[in-house]
Amino acid sequence: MMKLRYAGLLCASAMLLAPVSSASANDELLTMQTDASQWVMPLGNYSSTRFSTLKQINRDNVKNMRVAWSFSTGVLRGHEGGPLVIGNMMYVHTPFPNKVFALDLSKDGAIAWTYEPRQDNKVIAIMCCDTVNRGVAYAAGKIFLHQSDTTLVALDAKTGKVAWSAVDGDPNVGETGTSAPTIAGNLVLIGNSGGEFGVRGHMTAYDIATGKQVWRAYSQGPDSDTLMDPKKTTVLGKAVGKDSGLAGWKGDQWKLGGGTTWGWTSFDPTTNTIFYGSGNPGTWNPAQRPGDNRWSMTIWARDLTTGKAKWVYQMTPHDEWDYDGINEMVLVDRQWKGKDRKLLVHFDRNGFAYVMDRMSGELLGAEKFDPAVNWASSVDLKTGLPVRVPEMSTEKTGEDIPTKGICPAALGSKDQQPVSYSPDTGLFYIPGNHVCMDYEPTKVAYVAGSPYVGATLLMYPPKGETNLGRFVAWDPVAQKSVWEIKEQFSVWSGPLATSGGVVFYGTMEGYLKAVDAKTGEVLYRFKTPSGIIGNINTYTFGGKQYVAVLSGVGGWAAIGMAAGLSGDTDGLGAVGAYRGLSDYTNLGGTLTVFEVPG
Amino acid sequence: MILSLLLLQAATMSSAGYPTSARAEYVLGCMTANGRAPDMLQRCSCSIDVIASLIPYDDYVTAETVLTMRGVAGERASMINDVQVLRAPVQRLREAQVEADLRCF
Repeated sequence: MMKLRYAGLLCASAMLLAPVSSASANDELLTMQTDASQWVMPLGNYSSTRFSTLKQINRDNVKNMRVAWSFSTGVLRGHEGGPLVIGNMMYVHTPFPNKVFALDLSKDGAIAWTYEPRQDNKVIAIMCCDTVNRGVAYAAGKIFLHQSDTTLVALDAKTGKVAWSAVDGDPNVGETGTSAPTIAGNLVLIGNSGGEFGVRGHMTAYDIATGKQVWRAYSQGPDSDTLMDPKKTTVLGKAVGKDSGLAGWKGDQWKLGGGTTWGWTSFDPTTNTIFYGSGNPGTWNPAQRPGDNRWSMTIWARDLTTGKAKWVYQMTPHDEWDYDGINEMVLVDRQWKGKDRKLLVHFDRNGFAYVMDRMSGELLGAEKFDPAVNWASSVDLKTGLPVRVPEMSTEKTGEDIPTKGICPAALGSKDQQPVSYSPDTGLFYIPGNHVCMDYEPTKVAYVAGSPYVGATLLMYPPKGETNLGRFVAWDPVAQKSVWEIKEQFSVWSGPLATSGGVVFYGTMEGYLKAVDAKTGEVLYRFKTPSGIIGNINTYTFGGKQYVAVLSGVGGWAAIGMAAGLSGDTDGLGAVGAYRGLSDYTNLGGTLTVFEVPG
Repeated sequence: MILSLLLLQAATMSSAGYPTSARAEYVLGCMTANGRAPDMLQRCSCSIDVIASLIPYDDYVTAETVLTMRGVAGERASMINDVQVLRAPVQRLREAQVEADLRCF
C-alpha cells in the first residue's frame, strides 16, 4: 500500500493536469475517466463509449480544422489503437517491436522517453493478422504495455523505466499479445491472441504494483480452469452446470479450443464486474470439432476481484465461419421498453447487435446491423440460439467444397475496431465491413506453433454492390440504423463521438472524416499520410481541444516510382528507390493531431 | 517532429481535384526512381498531369490504397488484394500511367 501511494503521488506532481491521486488506482481512474481534458484509457472510459463531452470543435467550426502537429513513429506495419493523454503527457505505442513514446505536450510534443522492448523476431511469423498492438494502459504512475511476445510490462510513466514484467504465454505454441491492457481496481487484465494456432484463450489478472498473477480464467475446460460455478454462474438465467466448458467438445479437443480474448474489456465499478468476449474455436474446420465448443464466441461477465464467472452467453455455438466474439462490450444505462435498464450493447462479428441486461445476462434484443447478413435469419431471444440458414452452413456443405455467398465474411460485419456511443444522440456509430465470402473448410492436423486454420476463403462485396464498408448510426432501442455512409473500403478505424455534435472516423484511404452526428453529413475530411486503422481520440491542452489519430497500414503505393521505369529494372529500381524514398517519405506510422485555429 | 508542411496540404488544391501534395508526392517518387535532373522534373510532372487528366482523384486514391496493401501481411491486406471490384481502379491507373509514359518519357 505504501509503495502504491508513493507511486501515485509521484505521478500527480509530475503531471500538470492530473487530479490528486488516491491510494487506489481504481479510485484514481474512476475520477480520471470523467475528465474530458484527458484520454486515460483506450476506449475513453470504463463503459467503452469512446465519447467525449468536449465541444470546442463542433458542427459549425469543424470545417476549419487543420493539422496542429504530427509525429512519425518510424515503425512499419498496421497501427491499431490510439494514444493516451495523461496530464501533459501523451503516450504513443507502435506495432511490433512495440515501441512506446512519451511525448511532453508542454514542450511541443518533445520526446520525454522512448521504450523499446527486446523481442524475438520469430514472434512476427506467428501473428496471424499483422503485428498489431491496440494500445497501452495507465494507472498509478505506470504505463502498461502488452507486447507481441505476451510479456506484460509496467513502465514508470515519468521515466519509461521498467518497474516489472510478467510473461503471459508461450509464443512457441502460438500465443501472442495484441490487446490493450485494461486496468480496474488494483489489477491489470490482459487477454491472449493466437486463435489461429489452436491455443487456449484466457483472461489473466495481474497485480498492478508487483506484476504477480492474481487469477487466470480460461475460455474452456473444467470449472477450475473457467472459474465457473456450476450453480451460480448462469447462461440466460439458468445455472450452467458442472464443467460446462468441457461439455461442448469431443474428447480432449478443448485443449486446442481457441476462444482467445484479444479484444476489449469493459468494467462496471458498481457491481465490480468485467465484460469481454471470446473468439473462434480451434480450427476453422467445424467438422473437426463437433459440439457447441463452449465457451468460444461468448460474452463473459466476471467478478473483477476473483475472476469468477457471473454469467455467459454464447452467440455463435459451434462456429462455422470464424465469427470471433471479441468485439467490445459497451455499457449503457437507458430505458428499454419503458424500464430503466443497465444494458450491455455488443456489435458482433456475426452481424448481430446484441442488447443484454448486464446485471442478469438476460438477452433483450439481437438484430442484424448489416442487412447483408445471411448466415442466420434471426436470433431466438428465448433460447439465445441463432436461427441458421442451412445453405450457409460450411459444415453441411462439407470439406473441400466452398460454401458460397456467406455474409458477413470471416472479418465480420464489424471487427475489433470499437464503436462509439453518444448519450447526446442516443446513437451508436459503427465502423463496418460490408463483405461476403466463399468458405472452404479443409482438414488440418495440429502442430504446436503452426497455424491451425483449415479453411480457404474468397471475399467480395455483397451481390450488386461495390462498397466494402459502411459507417452506420444505429439506434440500439429501436434496433435499426438511422443513417449510413457507404465507404469503398471496410472501415477499420474506431470512431469518436463528441458533444460538439460531430463524429470522427478514419478510412483506409487515410481520410480523417468529421460527420454530423445526427445526419451523417460529411463536414470535413483530411488525407493523412497513410490508411487509418487506429482509433480517434480527443483531449485538451492549455484549454484548447485537439483530435488525434494514428495512421499507418504498413505499405506504400509507390505509384510515382513505376513511371518511366522499364520492365526489367522494375525490381532493382524499386529496391533502390525505396531506399532513396526513406529520405522524405515516411513509411512508418504517423500520429496526426488536429485543431481548429483561433 | 512538428511538420508545418502538412498545414499547407489542406489549403492547396490544384486543378482536376488533385491536391498539390498528391502531385508532389508522385513527382518525388518518380524522380527518386528515374533521376533528379531538371529534365526528369518535367517528365515526372507531365506524367502526373496526364494521369490527373485521365482519372478522377478519388479513383486515384482508391488505386493508391489498394497498391499500398500489396505486400502487407494479414487478413485486411489479403481481403483487399482478393476483391475483384478493387482491381478495376488499379488497372485504370496502370493504363493511365502507360499513356503518361508514352506522352512524357
